[in-house]
Amino acid sequence: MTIATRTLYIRDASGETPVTVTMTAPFPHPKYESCLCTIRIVWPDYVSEMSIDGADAFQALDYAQKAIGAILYSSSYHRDGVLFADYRRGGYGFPVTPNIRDVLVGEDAVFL
Amino acid sequence: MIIAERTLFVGHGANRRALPISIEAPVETVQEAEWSCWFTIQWPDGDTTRARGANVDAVGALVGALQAIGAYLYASAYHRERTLVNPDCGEGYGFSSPRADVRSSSDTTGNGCRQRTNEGRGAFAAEAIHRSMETTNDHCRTHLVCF
Repeated sequence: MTIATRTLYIRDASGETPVTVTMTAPFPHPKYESCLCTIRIVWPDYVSEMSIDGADAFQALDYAQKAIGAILYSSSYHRDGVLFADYRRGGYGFPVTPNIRDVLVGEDAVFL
Repeated sequence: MIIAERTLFVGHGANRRALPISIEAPVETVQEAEWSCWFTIQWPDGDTTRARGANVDAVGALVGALQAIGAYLYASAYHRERTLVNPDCGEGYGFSSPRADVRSSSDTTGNGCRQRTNEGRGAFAAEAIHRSMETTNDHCRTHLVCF
């Protein structure tokens, strides 16, 4: 079940193209005693979907949002400076793991 | 709808008391044109914190709520007194707080329970809560409403 969605935008000469990010509620792993949270990012040219494993539902949520942050910040769209989020002064509103916090920009660097 | 639960404990052995935490799926508040993500912390002394992360969308509300839980835990007397424990994770509680400088232990490394707890974190976390609430009136619509 999808519990959260955010739409980012790629702004280039052709205009603004939406990038949709969604997260599902954590659900039990089918084989192990852990929880999964599925994330999905719909880029203009492909879809990135994966299930993030956590020891419990809270950890699955935590890792999922950080995985989204890592994917966004490592994307060519971020590198090219064309990816942006409404209502934010820079950044995308997803935290990242501490070892790559130096990549955060704008409000992400201040608040996350 | 509750989407995640975790139980921390205060104290050890026979004196150990449960500290359950739960978070609900974000919901849209139509009148206020925002999303809320409610969470509940049941403190061992009988108090219950029920608060929410709020933002323009569900992702922001969820991120805010998860960080708020971390801030509440690190700002608590139980943390300050070093009696709050996560039985599945030696030190730290598995929740991020709003800034890297307000958290430490495994919550700083993000990779398990590796580092020692820093002094004075509770004060930083309390400041972080205050700062998060301040942003309601600032440019950022990520804010916390606490009841």
